[in-house]
Amino acid sequence: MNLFASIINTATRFTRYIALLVMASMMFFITFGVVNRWLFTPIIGDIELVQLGMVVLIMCGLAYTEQAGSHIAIGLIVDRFPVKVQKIFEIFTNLLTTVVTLTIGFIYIGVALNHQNHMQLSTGLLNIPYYPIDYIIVLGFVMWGMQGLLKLVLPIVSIFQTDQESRKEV
Amino acid sequence: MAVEVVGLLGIILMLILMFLRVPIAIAMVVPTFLGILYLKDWNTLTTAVETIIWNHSFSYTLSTIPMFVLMGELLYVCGISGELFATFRAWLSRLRGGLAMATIGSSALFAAASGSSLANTATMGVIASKEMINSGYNKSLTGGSIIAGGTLGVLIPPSTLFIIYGMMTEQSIGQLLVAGIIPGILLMVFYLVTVYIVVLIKPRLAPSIKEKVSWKEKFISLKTTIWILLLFACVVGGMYVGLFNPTEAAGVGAFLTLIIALLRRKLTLISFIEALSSTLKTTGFLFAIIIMAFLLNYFLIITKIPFLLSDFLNGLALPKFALFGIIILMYILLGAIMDSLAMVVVTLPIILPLIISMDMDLIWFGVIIVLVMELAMISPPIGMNCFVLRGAAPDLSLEDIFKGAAIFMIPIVLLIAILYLFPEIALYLPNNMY
Amino acid sequence: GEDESTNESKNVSADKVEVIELDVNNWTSSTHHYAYNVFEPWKELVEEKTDGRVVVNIFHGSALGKSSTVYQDVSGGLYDVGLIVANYFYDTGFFPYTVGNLPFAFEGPEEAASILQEFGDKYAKDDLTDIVVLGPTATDGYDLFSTKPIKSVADLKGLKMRVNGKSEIAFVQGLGGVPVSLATEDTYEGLQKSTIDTAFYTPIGAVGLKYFEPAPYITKLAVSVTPIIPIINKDFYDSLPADLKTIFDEELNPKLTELITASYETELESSHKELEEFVKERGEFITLSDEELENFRLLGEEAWTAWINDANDKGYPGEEMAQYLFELLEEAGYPIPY
Ligand code: NA
Ligand code: NA
Repeated sequence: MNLFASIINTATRFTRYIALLVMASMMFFITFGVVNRWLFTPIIGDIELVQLGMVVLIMCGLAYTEQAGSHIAIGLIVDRFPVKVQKIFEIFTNLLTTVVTLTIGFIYIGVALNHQNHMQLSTGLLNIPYYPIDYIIVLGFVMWGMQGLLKLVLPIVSIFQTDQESRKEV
Repeated sequence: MAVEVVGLLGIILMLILMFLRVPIAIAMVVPTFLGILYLKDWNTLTTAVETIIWNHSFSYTLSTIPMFVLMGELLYVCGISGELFATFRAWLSRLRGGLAMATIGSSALFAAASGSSLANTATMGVIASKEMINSGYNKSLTGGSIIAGGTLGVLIPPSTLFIIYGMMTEQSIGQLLVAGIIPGILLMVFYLVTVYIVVLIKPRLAPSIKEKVSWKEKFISLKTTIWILLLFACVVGGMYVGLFNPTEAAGVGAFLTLIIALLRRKLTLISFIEALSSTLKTTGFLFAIIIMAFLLNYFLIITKIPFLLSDFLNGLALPKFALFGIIILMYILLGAIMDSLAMVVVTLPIILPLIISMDMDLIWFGVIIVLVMELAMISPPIGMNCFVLRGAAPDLSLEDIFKGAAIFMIPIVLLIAILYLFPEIALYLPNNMY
Repeated sequence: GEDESTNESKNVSADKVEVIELDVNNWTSSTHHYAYNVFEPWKELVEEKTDGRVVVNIFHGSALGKSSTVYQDVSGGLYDVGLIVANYFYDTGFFPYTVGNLPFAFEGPEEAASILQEFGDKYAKDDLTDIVVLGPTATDGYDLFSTKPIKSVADLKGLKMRVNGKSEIAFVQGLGGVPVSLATEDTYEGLQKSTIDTAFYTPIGAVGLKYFEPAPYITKLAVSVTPIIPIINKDFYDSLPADLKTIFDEELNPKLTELITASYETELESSHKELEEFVKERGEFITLSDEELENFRLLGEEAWTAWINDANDKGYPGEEMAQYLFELLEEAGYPIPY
């Protein structure tokens, strides 16, 4: 259990720092593009690079957002229930999150394979093939799903855990 | 089962899930998946997932969102928001209700360099709530003025909501952002007047403050505001005169903010990572909602519910102002119980055909939509700004905040009415863009 | 054969004949000439010819999907009928049709429609089995919409020129511009926000999309056309009863192509007049001398070479294809590009 949690969290930290790096790079790159256009000529394919950056930024941010509990939810009703009942709702919520995101990840594996082997699409100017970008999307949703799975398993474990065991862990 | 019934069941399921604390993005996509599988097949579902996710992440326009959010986060970590509040306090604290006014004023100025209303509320919330409560201000007035000020974050450009609206309606994002300037300033003035009137009626809500600030100190305190005005001039001004497009404005804006933070020697690697991380969290939840909302929209469109509803409303043959009134009323009611973003992304495809058939300007309607979203953000029981402030300022109870927020709903509704009568207030600047 | 006839008799014997719904995605707005010249009349025709057994739902404004993903969307069943812009699918089996987008390949839609049909039958049809491909046609000739006056090739130096797909890149580079790739729906804002300085576009389409507002300098070039290919979802088509299928094959499908062709042909003249009127005060409607036009024409050859190379890379017989196209053009009495 602890091993699973630490693998997922390490992977999430990894995607998070990729996203942060890409975000900062986009800021510099867009500024560089503007200055370059004013002083010299426009950069060919600047838009495609920003688009590519956006995919990485969004997808690598999904799992971190889940980990930080920042996906917006409405707690108005559930918050009023006893903690035990809330845990059951939480299991249900995280089950849905896991199923949905892993389904999307699974679908996008198909998309990526199709773009890799059959319909070999690529961007208009820089000829960046779509399929590696598709795999980034797969990564994003699968990682989100893994964070969901982690949050799904933890309350289940905690329900069956006796107080003594949890004291030992501390 | 008729397709419309499937659509209706989908909407009901979505609402149930939302109230069971399922994240909004997931709550939108569960009925979508089930609905598409029921009405079409797995193949259609995979295609919808493929092209909709692609179109809304591999996107140039949408990169504006993280950059505008990053601007605000960088200003926060380098302490500008605190100094802004101090400036306005120096100038206004001697007035009755002066601290509440200072909160609104500094929020408005901060809004000129930050794209998100939640960030605005959280940022000003920490600073302003402490000072106001310590000075003996009423808690409701404290909470109300902070969250009201927070709403200015999305009306005064830069603004994430205008970008999302512009993308959904294929309207010019530059024009939309610029359209928010005058209504934003007006709303700030209305808020200030609201504070003035409230304090006039109930003076005990805001004790007067004796502290004396010299003119010299007052003028020295203005220097922080110069940074913000400079940023606003570069980003929004540059876009207005056509130096760059909104995406470039956002990227350059974030970069300039970084330079300001470095010049002020307030930025460390750790605080830079902190600002980026906050931005990433906001980007994460926003795009989760955006992507899932477009999947939901595909589902709703094949159920024909949007057309059914707009046919129904059109069939009533009401005069224009009555129909408009119904739409606003609907949004106020929905806004009470829904997250503002979810509300708009779900309803816009339904409302839009109606607005177009009423011959209303879509840039102008963007400003109206942002105003109804502001109402939704501060109205109980579901008001995200209130929740965020509750998290940022533990001294304030949710009841205090909602009570204070209720007063500030009046100026928003008033502004909507004024904009209906005088659309030029919103349209003058965008119509005269370069 | 047998299965279909039993299905048919079942349908007829039942009191209520099952209504088949056909979803059309119009990625232009509800006020575009596609809406009133093509989709609305086609809807009427379909419902009339099938006695109401097929009901057409038109979704305007990219409601069901963008123009950049029509192939995926139709083959995946997001909707049943859509229009392929060949250049957006340069990497797919639609590649052969992109020959039509090369500089000065065709002068107008009628010419393109007749030639591309034969060309496509020979080089594209066999690879496009996951959808039903209807007769190809094309837009009217593209003029150049610019934010600055363009009176010679030299005026284009360093400008950001919108390219509509890979085949335009070589031409734009030959002209001395910087290619910027943008979808049709982003073009207006691109011109307005100076993401791009110029765009080649159909004069007709440009009237509806108001490109003259951000780009009031219009150079009359008829540089190229954009091939448009209507496609139908295969499952939808296969599920049609035999008699309806015949109606579609013989009347409705060809009619859709004809409506598009006719829409471009009839609207061209009035559009040019309208554009001239629109830009009178804020810009200029520029007609080039034969000499200057010849300069543009010569620079087009690079684009043909690049296309032939791409074709060869993709495993098509590039030179042979270009040669075949020139033969078709000559046979039909049209001018060849260079
Ligand atoms: Na703002
Ligand atoms: Na609310």
